[in-house]
Amino acid sequence: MKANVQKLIGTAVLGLALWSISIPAWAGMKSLREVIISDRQASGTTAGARYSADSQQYIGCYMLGNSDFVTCSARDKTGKSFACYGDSKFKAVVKAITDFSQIYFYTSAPTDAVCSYLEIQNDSLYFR
Amino acid sequence: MKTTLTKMLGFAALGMTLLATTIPTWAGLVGTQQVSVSINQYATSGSGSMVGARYSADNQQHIGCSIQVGRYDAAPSVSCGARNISGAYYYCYSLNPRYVEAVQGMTDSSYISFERLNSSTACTNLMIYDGSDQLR
Repeated sequence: MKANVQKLIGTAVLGLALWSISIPAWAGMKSLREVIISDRQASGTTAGARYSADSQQYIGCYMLGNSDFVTCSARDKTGKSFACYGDSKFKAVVKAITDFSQIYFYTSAPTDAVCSYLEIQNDSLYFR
Repeated sequence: MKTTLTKMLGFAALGMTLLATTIPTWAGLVGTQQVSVSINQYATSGSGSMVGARYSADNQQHIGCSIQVGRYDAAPSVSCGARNISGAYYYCYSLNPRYVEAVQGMTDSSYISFERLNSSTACTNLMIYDGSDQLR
């Protein structure tokens, strides 16, 4: 009986010790916004999309080496997509994207494929 | 005999776990400062490391910079902002292409420092430092 109790206590302590390793010990303000899309805009954080519970979300921009244009695109958890492209001015903004960015872009009309605005926010808020 | 062996194995596992928890496997210089905002008679400045802010014990601090451009803008602009542990928030804004370039170099372990005059929101200085001492 005594041996069983000791085993139980030992296992419980071991379990707590292992649990304490797996739980991060930090706090700090954070905001892992997931992807939101409306008829002419998209926003979300790279970490929020990547580590969302669904397998649909993403948000990002790409540059082509042989072109001055950039394209930003996103898909929300329902599968709704949105994309637009911008000229060389937008390249400087896309270059700032990291794994802790919030990306926000919009067009002037739902049928417009040209980006009217692109913003990349790199902030400690958006760390995973 | 079996009980004793089980106990020994349990304590050995516990010991190894606690050892791994308490002893860091790294050293080296660490300078991950938390967010600081200071105001004097003429200017306001904000500084801090991304790591220091994100992994602080409170839920107020953050620091970062953004780059944005509009379709009809001549060039991208930059803004940097910082909130300290008390919740005070300050930011500055700039069209300086050098600042744009600096923000493009940000990483998740950057140290950021910016200044502005109290009479304006325009950045008068911006520094992004990346170094081993800023790693978590």
